[in-house]
Amino acid sequence: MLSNIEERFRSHQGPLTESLVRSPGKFGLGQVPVNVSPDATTSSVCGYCSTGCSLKIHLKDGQAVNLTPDPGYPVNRGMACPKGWEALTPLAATDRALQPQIRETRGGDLKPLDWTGAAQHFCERIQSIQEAHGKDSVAFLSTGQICTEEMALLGALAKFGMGMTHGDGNTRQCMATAVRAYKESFGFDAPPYTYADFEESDVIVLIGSNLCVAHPIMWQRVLNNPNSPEIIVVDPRMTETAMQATQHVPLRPKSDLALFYGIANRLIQKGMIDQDYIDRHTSKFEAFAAFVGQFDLEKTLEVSGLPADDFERLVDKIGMGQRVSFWWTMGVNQGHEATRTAQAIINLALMTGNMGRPGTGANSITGQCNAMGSRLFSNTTCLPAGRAYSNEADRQYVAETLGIDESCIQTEPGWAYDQIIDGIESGKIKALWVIATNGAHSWIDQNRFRRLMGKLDFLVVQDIYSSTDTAEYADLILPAAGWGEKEGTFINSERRIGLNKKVRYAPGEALSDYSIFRLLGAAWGGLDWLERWHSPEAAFQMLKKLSIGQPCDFSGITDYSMIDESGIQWPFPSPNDGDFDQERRLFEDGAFYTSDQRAKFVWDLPVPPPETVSARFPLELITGRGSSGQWHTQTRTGKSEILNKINPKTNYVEVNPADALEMDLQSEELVEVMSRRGKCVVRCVVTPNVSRGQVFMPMHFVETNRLTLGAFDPHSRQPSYKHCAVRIRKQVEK
Amino acid sequence: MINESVRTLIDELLEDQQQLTAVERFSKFHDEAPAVTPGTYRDLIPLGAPKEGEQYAFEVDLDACSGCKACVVACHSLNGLDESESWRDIGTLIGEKAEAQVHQTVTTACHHCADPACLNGCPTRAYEKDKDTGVVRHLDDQCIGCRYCELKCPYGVPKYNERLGIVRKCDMCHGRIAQGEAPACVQACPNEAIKIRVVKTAALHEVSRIGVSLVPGAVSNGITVPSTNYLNLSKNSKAIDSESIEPAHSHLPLVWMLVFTQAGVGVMIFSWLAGLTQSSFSLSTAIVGGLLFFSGLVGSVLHLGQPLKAWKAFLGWRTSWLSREIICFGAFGGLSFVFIFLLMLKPVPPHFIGAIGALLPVLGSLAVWTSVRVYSDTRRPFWSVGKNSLRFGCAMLAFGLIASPWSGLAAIPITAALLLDLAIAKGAFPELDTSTRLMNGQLRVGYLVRVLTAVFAMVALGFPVVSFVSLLVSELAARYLFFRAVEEPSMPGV
Repeated sequence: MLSNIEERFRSHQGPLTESLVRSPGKFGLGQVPVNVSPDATTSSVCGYCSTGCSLKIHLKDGQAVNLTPDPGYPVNRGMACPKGWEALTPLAATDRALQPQIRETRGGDLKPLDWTGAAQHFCERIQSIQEAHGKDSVAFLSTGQICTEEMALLGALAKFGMGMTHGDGNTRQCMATAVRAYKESFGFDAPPYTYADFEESDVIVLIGSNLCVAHPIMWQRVLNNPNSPEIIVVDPRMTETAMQATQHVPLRPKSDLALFYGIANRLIQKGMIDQDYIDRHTSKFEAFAAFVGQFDLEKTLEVSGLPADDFERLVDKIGMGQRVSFWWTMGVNQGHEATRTAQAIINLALMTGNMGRPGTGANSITGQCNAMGSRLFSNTTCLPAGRAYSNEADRQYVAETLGIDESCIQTEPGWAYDQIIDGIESGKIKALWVIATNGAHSWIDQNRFRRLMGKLDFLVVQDIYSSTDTAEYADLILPAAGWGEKEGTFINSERRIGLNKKVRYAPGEALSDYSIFRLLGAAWGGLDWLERWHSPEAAFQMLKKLSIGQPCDFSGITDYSMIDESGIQWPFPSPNDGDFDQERRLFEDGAFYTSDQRAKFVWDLPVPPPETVSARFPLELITGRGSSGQWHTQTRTGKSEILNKINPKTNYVEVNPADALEMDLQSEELVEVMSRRGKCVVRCVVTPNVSRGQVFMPMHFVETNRLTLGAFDPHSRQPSYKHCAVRIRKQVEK
Repeated sequence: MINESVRTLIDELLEDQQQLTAVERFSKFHDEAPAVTPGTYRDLIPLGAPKEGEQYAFEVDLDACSGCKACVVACHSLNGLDESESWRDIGTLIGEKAEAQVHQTVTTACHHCADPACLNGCPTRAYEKDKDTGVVRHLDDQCIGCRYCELKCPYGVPKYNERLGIVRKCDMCHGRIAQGEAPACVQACPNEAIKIRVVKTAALHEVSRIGVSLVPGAVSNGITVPSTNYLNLSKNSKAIDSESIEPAHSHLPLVWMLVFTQAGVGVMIFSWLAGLTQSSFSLSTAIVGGLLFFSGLVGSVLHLGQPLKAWKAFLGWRTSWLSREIICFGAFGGLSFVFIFLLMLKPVPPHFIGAIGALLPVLGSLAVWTSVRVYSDTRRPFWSVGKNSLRFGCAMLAFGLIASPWSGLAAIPITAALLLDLAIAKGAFPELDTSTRLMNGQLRVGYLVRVLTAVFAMVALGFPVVSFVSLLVSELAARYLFFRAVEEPSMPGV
């Protein structure tokens, strides 16, 4: 009886219980929290990485209130990583840039002004600097984070309209190597794969790629592979992905090029090559074979530090696999001889005939959500749609399509990112326009970058936040709308063009980057041809036209609504009968984009990294992605409390236990990490997952790039983030 | 340079920016789209409900988990939780030895234990173990926000929500399972690493008896009999944050409450004892004791997130030491009130008061004993029955003695309790290494205050008021250390 009385005092219902009630999902959703139950849904491609997942946006009165991964999209099949799940949260951050802001004196406070004033200030300052120092004294640094239409408009406006000769993107930091390697080897920047290849391989070789953390949804495709594939991870560290591998190849840092030549040599020795494929579809193999002869077993093992058995096992798996796919990411791209390394991987795929068939390919996994759009349409390293500045026909076609005077088009590409930074040092670059990137955090040898920002006469930062590391140096801040607050397309890693939609009100007077470019163009004066760019979709139609006849031809896509459902991979030329496969790979016919339609073997002698360890700096520093909840410089992911919960709270350095013992370091204590360029104090994590003599730091915290060395691949001019020499000292408590 | 047409364009663009047209422009396709039910995870949840002697349980395949952590965020998003709130947590295991390369991510939610410590400890019975599913549910509207379940759960599962003033926790999305949907975390895992299984509770008890723990660094399963099963756990691994030493929550109202209730009980008891021996009871001493005690009680109510529901706290008396503590404190409070009231009524004969007062040491000791058990019941070694008895009992005696004619004797309990803290700080208890390091490190100032004021209280025993105040400060510092220097059991962190 007492129990019955007690039971009466228990509340199973009430306002607190009701606040968590879920309602049955409509629109194909499962149960959803009742307070954010949608009255409509739509979908949008995620704005973080290049996987290009589609997110189903839950709308209430037209505005996004929640999202779930889109189960019907061929890329992600109802899954997303934490960043995607939290894509809406950073839009509501309190440090959004709400109106244009001007800093009248260096180091002074920012003062708000209206768009008219901002546009006037922008044009007056840039034009006066150009008058004094030449048109090419003003450069822009763009991004892989904005829509293709936006970067195309920026490229057209800045170069053809404002006469800036030099402009580059932060894609230089991630994908330039792949671009350069593909162009030379295949004749066009064309990642050949489709994600289905992950599912169809019997051997998957991941090189310098921590797929589990960097591209979790691609890893999902690996696990969907029904063939119990061999998964080989080539990485100096025991990463999350290496943990999942059937073979982890812990090569010495920067021994990759020699290792791949050694593998090529061994494959030739063992007769594990596809001579028929080589003969019919490639060029320069004989010379390549002769070259790799010098990378005998002994030399390869010595350089890479691998045991002979492991090496032989690796060679045999590659040689005997029926469908071998090679995948690489930043571990390759961010090296001092990165282009040749990427091409050494391409060479392996070509010589074993692992190309153009299901489950094969030499496949560069892209970084940013629209790095692929930037590679084709940013008008930095090439004219739109991969056309060449040096080609007169291309210049003519671009001029005609955009309605501009051909004389506006330069005949050489402008400077790369590092050359622009050098240009500031040498006094040739006086003003810089930075769009949606955070170089004061992410650029290599950060202290120098920051010093040079201070040397500029005029720095414009266009971003969704006014609080980025780079914005601290800005003379003018232009407030941009973010992902979800604007419309346009992204191109993902497997060349799939996907759609972004406007599902949130931008705060304050923030405008889409597209609108900002339009209004600056209008304020600049005399650029009547910009009228053709009256909307993102109008731009899309022009980009289609620009792509005609190019390998990336997507003129068969009628309009945005056609790519709404599943996205469409390029190539998709017109005419087409509308009946096409959602997963298409390139080079199935063995015809490449080179003039002789043959893929080319390209090679060079490996050279040692520019900074080797010494008594003073005895450790090799590797940098990389920390966790799947962190994106690059964390200007966005750092704004989500739930992502902060799953991410490491502070910067850290991973140290091998033997090294830690020698230096008397314990986990969790603060240590000073120092290179020739800078130092920082971070938390020590002692773990056997880094090898002796190596240490690892994640790139997401601002301190890391104070240490890195400004070295670049000579062909791609991509920075070599993955290697420099450092030392560590116990931090004496003050 | 800026002409009228540019100004017009800017106005147009600003206006356009505030138009949301996704539905208008693209709704056709989405309206017509067939409802894609998230039903690909049919084999991730059981086909049927648990039978007698069975319950639902999470099964996590650590080899399938790639460490993407989407489960944590999906729990947050699909359950409509607050900004920093998720019922899943994430941690990392790395190799324990130099030669063992391990990197495993451990996703963890409520383990829906067969013998849930949260449920047993809850004073208001705000937890229930669902008869049909075995899901440990939290009744949000029954919760008074005392946060005791946070101390009781050795896995850090229940989490206090400051905005709401209550604790919330994972309910295994049982409402989803009932509809044939998978829980949020299960739905969100790209690698199907989290599954719901039906397990036999007897088997859980059996496994727990042999002293295993869920993952390295976690407490023995014997404490709560958790139901989660981690598959493919790497051997020789440890939590990546195992060397991280952070002070625990200070629970300041509880610091206050413990010291003042113990002081109040001590003073009340000794005012009665002194009265017995001297045949005259001191009203003023009793009032001081009563005031001390009641100010302690105020502290206990203040720390609640839902103080208006505090009256429900007797409901858990069958299993909850906190509930018993509240009942005993209430009874002692009532008795103190009667005692003081009788003292104020002049005509009441002293022997009658003496007889009534005899209940004071009985109820008072019982109340302090419940305090001892409230914390020892969390199974944290720092809060063992013996140590808590020494701490709380000595405090009660010392305060009472100082306020009595035998104040010199207070040096004995003060010294006894002080020796315990000194011993811990000097590392006499290897199992309390974390506490030792905290007391010598981040909590050094608190520790020094504790020691110096205790010594001063003894030196000043000739001046009882000075000594009493000094001891109050000392014991407040001691309880501060009591909460902050305790090692909190947990699952691996990041």
